[in-house]
Amino acid sequence: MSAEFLRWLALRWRGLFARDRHEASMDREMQFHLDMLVQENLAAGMTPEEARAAAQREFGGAAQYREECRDTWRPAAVSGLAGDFAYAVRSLRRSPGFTAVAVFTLALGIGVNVVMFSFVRDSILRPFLRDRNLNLVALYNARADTGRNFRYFSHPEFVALRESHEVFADVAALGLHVGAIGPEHNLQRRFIGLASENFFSLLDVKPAQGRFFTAEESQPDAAAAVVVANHALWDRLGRPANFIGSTLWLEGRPYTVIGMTPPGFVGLHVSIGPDAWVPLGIARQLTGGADFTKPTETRLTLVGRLQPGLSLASVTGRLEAVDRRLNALPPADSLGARRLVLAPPARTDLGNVGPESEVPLGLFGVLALGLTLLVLLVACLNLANMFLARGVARYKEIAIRLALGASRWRVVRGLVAEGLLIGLLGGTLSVVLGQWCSDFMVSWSHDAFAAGKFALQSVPFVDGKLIVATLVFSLLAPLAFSLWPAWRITRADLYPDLKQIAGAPPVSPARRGWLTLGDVPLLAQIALSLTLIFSATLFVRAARNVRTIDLGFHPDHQLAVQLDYNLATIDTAQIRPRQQELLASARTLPGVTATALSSNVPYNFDLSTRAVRAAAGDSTVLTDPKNPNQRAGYTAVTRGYFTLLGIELLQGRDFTPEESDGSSAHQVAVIDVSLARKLFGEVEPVGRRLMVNPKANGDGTLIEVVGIIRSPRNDAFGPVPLRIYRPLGQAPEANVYLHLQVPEPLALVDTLRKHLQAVAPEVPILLLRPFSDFVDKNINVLLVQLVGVIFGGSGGIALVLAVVGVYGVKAHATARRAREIGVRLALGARPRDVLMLILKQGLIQAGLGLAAGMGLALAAGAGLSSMLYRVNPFDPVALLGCAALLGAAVLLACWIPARRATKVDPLVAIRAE
Amino acid sequence: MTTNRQELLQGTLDLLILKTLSTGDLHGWDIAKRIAVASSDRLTLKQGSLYPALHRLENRGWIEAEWGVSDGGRAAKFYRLTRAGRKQLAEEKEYWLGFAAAMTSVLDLEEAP
Repeated sequence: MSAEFLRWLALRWRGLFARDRHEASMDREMQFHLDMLVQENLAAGMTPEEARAAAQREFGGAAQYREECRDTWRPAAVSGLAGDFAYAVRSLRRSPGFTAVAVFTLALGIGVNVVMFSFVRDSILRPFLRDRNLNLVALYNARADTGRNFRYFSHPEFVALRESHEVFADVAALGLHVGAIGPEHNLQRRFIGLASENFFSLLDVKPAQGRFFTAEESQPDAAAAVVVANHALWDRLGRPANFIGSTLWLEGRPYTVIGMTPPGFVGLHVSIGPDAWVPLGIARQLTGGADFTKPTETRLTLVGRLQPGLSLASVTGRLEAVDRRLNALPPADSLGARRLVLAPPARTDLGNVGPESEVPLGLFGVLALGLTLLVLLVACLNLANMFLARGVARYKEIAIRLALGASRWRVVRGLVAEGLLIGLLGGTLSVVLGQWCSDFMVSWSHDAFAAGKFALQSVPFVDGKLIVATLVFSLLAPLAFSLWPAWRITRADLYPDLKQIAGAPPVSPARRGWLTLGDVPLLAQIALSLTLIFSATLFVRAARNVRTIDLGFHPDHQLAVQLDYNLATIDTAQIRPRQQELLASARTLPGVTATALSSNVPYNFDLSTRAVRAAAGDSTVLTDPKNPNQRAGYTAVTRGYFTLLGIELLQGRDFTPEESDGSSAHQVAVIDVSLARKLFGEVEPVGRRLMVNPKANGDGTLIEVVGIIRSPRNDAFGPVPLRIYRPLGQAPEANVYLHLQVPEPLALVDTLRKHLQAVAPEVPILLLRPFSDFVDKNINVLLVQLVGVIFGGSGGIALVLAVVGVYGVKAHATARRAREIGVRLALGARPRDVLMLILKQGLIQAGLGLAAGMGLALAAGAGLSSMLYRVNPFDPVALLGCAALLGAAVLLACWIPARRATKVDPLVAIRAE
Repeated sequence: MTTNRQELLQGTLDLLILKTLSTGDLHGWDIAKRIAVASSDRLTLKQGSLYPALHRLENRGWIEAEWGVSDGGRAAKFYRLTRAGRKQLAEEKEYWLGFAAAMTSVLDLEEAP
């Protein structure tokens, strides 16, 4: 059977795809025969003309025989599945326009799903630690009495847990530190991981190059200056050769690169992670001398592997013994006994202190995928409409096939085969589109993260599995959009008898009222399109809001430079004067109109906070005696900072030059208006006194409030923080930002860099960028905008699809009514009446679809509300605007074919009968 | 037109081709010549009609084709009987002879004087 089958297959293949070669072979074969006949006739003494004529007579009608030969290669009388496909290929090739629109529609519908799915999978679903059977758990440290109040672990706790064997086979520790890292003169502040030596083996990661740490290197105070680089760091440095063994600078000291992690590995979390790992033993040196083995130093995140055979559910009873070990240690604080809480490894945040709900992320994933599936649904409905329209246009062809004895099933199969071909082409194109989009997004996010502090996993997200899934999907989708139309247009009652056929079907008996079953896809498409367009509008508004939100400061026309004097070998006492010199000299640069220093900048995720309390007797507010402090964002600044950044001074004054440079001993602060109200109540705050980080007994340096400002935002998300500002001279900081006001920031970059290298050659420049980049390239801002682009794109696609779909259906429906319209016109109807007739029907359909769509859109808005950035999810203006836009598009799509129909010559239309 | 030439009966061309090919690998021209010789030129056959038949037989797997060189040194497409074709030939031949014998015995019935 198989040999026969293979030959059959080979013939079919030849018939379908090797036609040209086959044709040539046949021509040569017949020509040979004719030549032989001519030769014979010549030999018999005929003239060349006679010989040729006789040969042709003898041979017979070559053209007819050729056609008969061709018939034999054609899939036997279009039978079998291959026949269906051969027929479908021919049929689609005959109408390239239809095919192109259909393929592109489907490619958009599937492509947007490919991109969204891979985005959601990589940022939310891909459980790096969960998809491997490592039996890993995250360890969290809670107060025993509450089961909450989480804090990180201390080193002694880590050691105790590692030595316990009731539950864990092994426990590894990770601490995170933000520090300057890079080749000697190209440092950036990034996350650095402090890892125990078993961290990598516990996660079952093998080095891509070199080796990981040894147990000795991880011992407290081992001080081995070795570093394991993240693959992404190596990428960012331009993939230098001989990377292993080279030197990286961390916080001003040289480290030897001993190994590199494999691509895609970023530690405990998804997508983002530290740039490099150093052994725990180096922690003291790296983090500035604090003894991290003290019980009070709690800064480690723990991850453990359960004993073989145990699971999260089965260990609960055994945790008590582990808790006892934990509580036998000297306590870290006065908060009492601790309790261990286990959870599956976290998916997202770096170094969660406690287990986090995954519901919001899951919700985002479900909604995002739901919306893109809606786009696909609209695309399929659209295709169903197009297939329906096309099927009815092919009425004659189908009627003839049915009349010649093809079963309804056969005809349906042929039509579905066309759908499958479209599906396959569309699916392939969508993978190409998805790949393109993925490349774009990877490069985009690398740009975004290059300015941030994290390493980004650099794995392309369209992979083999996804391609296979897409193709399977693209074969399933056509069943949805071609089976139903095929079944409808082959209905027997449409084909009473062949004689009646004149290229257009008789008006189906069902088409009497304004609405029939056939209108359902059209209405559904309008309704769903409205939902998509409305959702897109909400997200686009969110993306705009994140740009136009009131920042509380003006980032334009400024440069910011981060300089960390800790990294320079300068005597600590020299740091302040050197900073002052720098400030003064920068003011002399061309175009610079103002300068200031600050200890942190907004929108940079680096706001540190301090406990602030009103001085006794200075406040009218009753404070909670247990917790009398407010936590406020803390920034040390120089005089002129507020004016330079455009922060509004509401009351009082800026720091004086003496306060700013520290020559005045009178301690002062500027606070924001909300903090003032919280500390002092309704009384005049200027002149009142407060304490920063007071001792537990309430003692502390008294600081006078001299000014009240309106607090600038610190992030796109969250509330505006409470803030307190102190003069840099009175509260020195080694790590500072130099702000420069200059009309053309980018033009000054090179000059400034040269200037800094001349004035402060020993201080590494950690960052030098236009201040506006902090806002424009803030990762949260970018994310909101990315989501806006994705959803806005989906909405745009939905709008285009709606117009194409409605146009297709209407154009076809009016073409079907050409005869009726011709009769109306012949009987004296004015073109205007005919136009109104068709438009009225379109209007009713559009109205019904839009009404249903508004309900759906509001429901979608409710579902999306938690993901929207400062947007009213029920915004009536947006909803009505979208409905009006879509309605207008639908009417336009009706109007064009209606107008064409009125141009019909009545005689031509009627004579077509 | 010669009067003693016979039109081919429907379906007999295939049998003629299969039989002719059972004598060896031949191209279309040869097949036409051999049929003419063997039938003493008594069968009417538009020679071109051989080709659809050849392609049909090839399609059914009874013969297979290969390009080769003719006696005159030109490229020609040679057909060869496959095993399935040989079987088919035997069956058709048996059927035809049986049919012809039956026809003959009916036609040989004594006619009423």
